[in-house]
Amino acid sequence: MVALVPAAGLAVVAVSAAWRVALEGGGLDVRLTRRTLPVLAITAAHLLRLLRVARGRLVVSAASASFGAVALALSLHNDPPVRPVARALAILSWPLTLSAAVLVAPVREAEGPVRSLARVTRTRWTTLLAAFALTLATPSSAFGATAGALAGVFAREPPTTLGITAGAWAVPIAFAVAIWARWLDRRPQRGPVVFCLGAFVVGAVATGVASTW
Amino acid sequence: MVVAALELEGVSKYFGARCAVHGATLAVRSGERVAVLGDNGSGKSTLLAIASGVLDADGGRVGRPVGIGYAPEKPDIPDHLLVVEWLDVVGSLKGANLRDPDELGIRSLLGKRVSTLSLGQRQRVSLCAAFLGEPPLLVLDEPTNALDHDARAAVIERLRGATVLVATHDEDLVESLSARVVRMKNGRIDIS
Repeated sequence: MVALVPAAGLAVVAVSAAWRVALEGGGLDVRLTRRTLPVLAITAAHLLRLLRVARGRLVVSAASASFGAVALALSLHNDPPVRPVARALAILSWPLTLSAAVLVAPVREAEGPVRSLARVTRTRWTTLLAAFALTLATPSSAFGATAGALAGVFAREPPTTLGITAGAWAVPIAFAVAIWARWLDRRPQRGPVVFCLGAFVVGAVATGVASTW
Repeated sequence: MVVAALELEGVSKYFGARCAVHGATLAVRSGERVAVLGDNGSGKSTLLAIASGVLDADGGRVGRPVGIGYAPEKPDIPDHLLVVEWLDVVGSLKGANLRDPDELGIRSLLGKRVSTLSLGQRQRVSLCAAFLGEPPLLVLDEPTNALDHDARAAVIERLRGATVLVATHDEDLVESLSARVVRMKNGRIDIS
């Protein structure tokens, strides 16, 4: 346990350095896409924007999941539950909602050129929506799985089960956030406050569902 | 029988109260090259955006084939991607692979980030993306604007024999393509 603290610090420094070198260094750009299904190609393009341009948002997204992991670990440790999975999902619902919601703006910005292309190629709107949702779900489910697993290790609960269920739980949450954001795009009263209210409702519903599981 | 590759019938487009295109009727036959000429703000780009499907018309009828190749006046390419990554995305949506990276001399650009390209290089990438998949109709807005002499010649060579609707101020391009000329003025098609 004592070694975990310096190891975690070292990991943060290493990942930060790797991002600087691999994703900002012009000479080290690596092709990260291939010709594939439209939904996967668009998702890959959106994810690359998050990685290369909107890393601040990714850090906030990761921080939100980290706070969730700490809260979950303390809760499991101090008050071991009969159903740790339900407790994990209930506690992680809000952080995972925030984790997905903060990524909405950069992904919407990335959609501009892709939307023009999609209209010309008559790509279905459902494909664009699915790519949008998958883009939000990919980092938030990874952060959720990591948070669940780390909390499980700390609280001596099954980390694999907690990690998998937390990662899977992030997917419907991210999809709900994506659908809300896309629905709001078509409304005249759209704005950051209205979006946050909707995300709040998504978090509340997810917490409620997980609590009654 | 000559088949129409594109048919616009009484097409109109408004931006607020301003009418950008008013009752435009135009047909491009298969194998034909049509050049839309006109002053700045005459509605050429809007007409081409409607023809390509990027904009919806507010009135009239548009008949276009599936899988058009469209290159806008200002290349709309995500800055954060490598050129090859953008062509992967375009290829995925069109269901086509890049056959000839030497086309328009973009082989040397494939590994570069779009944000590092000059306007002319972006134009070449945008045109290459439009050409991907051998589309039945090319809709090109000012395709030779920022191109150097060699790239311009390559574009003209590539367009010969294709079905093309092009908006341009470049009279030499019109002549080189032996294109039928359509003039626009104040959102209306003046002479067909």
